Amino acid sequence: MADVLIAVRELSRSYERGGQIVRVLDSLSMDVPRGAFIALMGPSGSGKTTLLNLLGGLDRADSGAIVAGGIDIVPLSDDDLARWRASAVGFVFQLYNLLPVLKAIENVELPLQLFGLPRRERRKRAALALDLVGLAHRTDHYPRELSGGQEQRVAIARALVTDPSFVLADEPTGDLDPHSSKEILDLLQHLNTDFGKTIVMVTHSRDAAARAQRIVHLEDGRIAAGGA
Amino acid sequence: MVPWRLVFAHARAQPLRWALTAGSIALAVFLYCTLQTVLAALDSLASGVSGNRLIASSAVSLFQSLPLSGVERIRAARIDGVREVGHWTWFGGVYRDPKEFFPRFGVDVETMRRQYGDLAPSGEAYLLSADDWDRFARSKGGCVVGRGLADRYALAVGDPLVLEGDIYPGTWQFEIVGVYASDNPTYDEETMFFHWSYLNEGMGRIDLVGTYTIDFAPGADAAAISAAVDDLFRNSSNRTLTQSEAAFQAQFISMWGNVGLLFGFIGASVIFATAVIALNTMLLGVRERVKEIGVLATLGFRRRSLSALFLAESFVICLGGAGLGMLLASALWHGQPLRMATVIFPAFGVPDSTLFVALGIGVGLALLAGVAPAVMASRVSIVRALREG
Ligand SMILES: Nc1ncnc2c1ncn2[C@@H]1O[C@H](COP(=O)(O)OP(=O)(O)O)[C@@H](O)[C@H]1O
Ligand SMILES: [Mg+2]
Repeated sequence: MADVLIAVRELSRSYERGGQIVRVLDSLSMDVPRGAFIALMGPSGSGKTTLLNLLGGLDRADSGAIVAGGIDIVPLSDDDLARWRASAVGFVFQLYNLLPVLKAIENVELPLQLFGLPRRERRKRAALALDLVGLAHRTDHYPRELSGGQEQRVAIARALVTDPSFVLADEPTGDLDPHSSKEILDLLQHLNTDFGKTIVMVTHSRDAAARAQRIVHLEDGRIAAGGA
Repeated sequence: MVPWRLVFAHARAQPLRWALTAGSIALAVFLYCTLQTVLAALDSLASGVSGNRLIASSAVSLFQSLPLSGVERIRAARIDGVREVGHWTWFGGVYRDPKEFFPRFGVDVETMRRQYGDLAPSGEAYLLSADDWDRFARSKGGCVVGRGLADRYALAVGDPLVLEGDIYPGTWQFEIVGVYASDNPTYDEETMFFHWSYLNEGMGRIDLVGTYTIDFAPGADAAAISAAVDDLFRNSSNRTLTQSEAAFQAQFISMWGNVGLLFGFIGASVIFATAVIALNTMLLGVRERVKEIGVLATLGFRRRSLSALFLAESFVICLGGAGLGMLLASALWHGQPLRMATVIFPAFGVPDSTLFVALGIGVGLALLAGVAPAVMASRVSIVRALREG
């Protein structure tokens, strides 16, 4: 059996909407092997974002377990979960989610503040991360001064700067033109193959999904195909 | 764990909003400091008075004259403890321009010297050399002016000083024979003293004075003396009200109404209004930045860090504003004399205690405006925040 980074067991999550309980994830189980690049697909509203949020410790499951590095993160306290996110997980969103008031390099530096690093060291690492995504020449630009593709690359640099083992990307190319999409996918693949990052990426695009080693289909809160 | 860079990035991104909020706090704190400074200055006016002096004025009104004969009458009564009886008379009048105001009093120079000058047993209020006192006493139309007054109008000994009378009509010529100083905040350096007898002669000997100044020996019964003095005039047409010099001074102050209460009310209202403004700004900030809060939480910032972020912003705005207001007040009111109508504050400066309270107000405002947003920020649901626009 391959080395499992994240093991999901019997995971359930319901939301209440208009007085009705909607079961978004229904006893879902899956393994994420270390070093894997998984594409998560499925119709809109099938629970992809919900699953990703649970995997990254942004949301709480109603029941089930998410075992990461030997510990179940489901019952962790808010603070412990925050600590775990800070050190183990990098997030990339469809709409980049950069802070508009911060320059590119300041956005990338932000998560490093949680590690008590001296300012000079933070700067150095942030500059390295920006260099890695090919934006060394845009450090002092504000997000509004960058193209969508560039913003997403800054967001990837921010996700990488703390050197997490696990990167979660929710439709990272959903808002980009084909050319920028290709650049972002190249970058994610590069992170997976050359840096060994484990990646789970939600996507609607077959081309994007083709970059992954495995495609998991989600339907009605369950894994329809590819979960094994 | 406060991401300070982010705090200042928001200030950088919305300079107008930050400046207006901090500016309104600065203005409120400046106003508070100024009002307190006026109150402290009013207090100090009465604080340095002699504890061994009574002032008798007309029981009818502060502006009603008393007969000169009353001075002799008090002396002749030989009231236990009374040491010296003098008199002061308010002249009014105009020097150069009605807007150029300073107080002018006609006095009996010899008794004034024994009550307020170098011969006063309780210490001198007006500092003038013995030679100057002698010269003043000998001159008929001589006058002495305070150092501040001399500086203001570039007056020196030997200069003429001409007043246009209003209460006492006519043009009055004086010659400056001395410039006094004072190191007691109650006794300003902005007053002119001249011989009452010169005024009286010019007016055809009407023999009226403003107040009687009654010095008594230390340890004497002040209440008994003032009762005895008032008794002397009880059945005359010139009844007196005799009170301590402090109480007499306070009378002028009370002409301003109940300033302490009024100032307190104004200050509190303005600070309350400012608190509402600051709270509104901060709440607006949280609502606009739900997404940012979600992103910070995603990156691993803990709930208390999110709270700290908004508290820190509130402290930067409120303490920054308060500091600015304090600085402004301290720079403007730094112990110089200030003339307000007929009252002169010899040393008009912001008291340390006021600055201390102003700092407290800054902290209070920061907490008031910051706690609710901080709590809101810590309660934001990450998932919902990320789903928002
Ligand atoms: N916070 C929430 N409150 C109520 N319903 C939610 C919430 N989050 C997600 N949902 C619902 O759960 C379902 C799955 O959502 P999501 O995971 O975003 O799907 P996907 O990402 O696959 O499009 C949708 O029907 C959505 O409306
Ligand atoms: Mg989604």
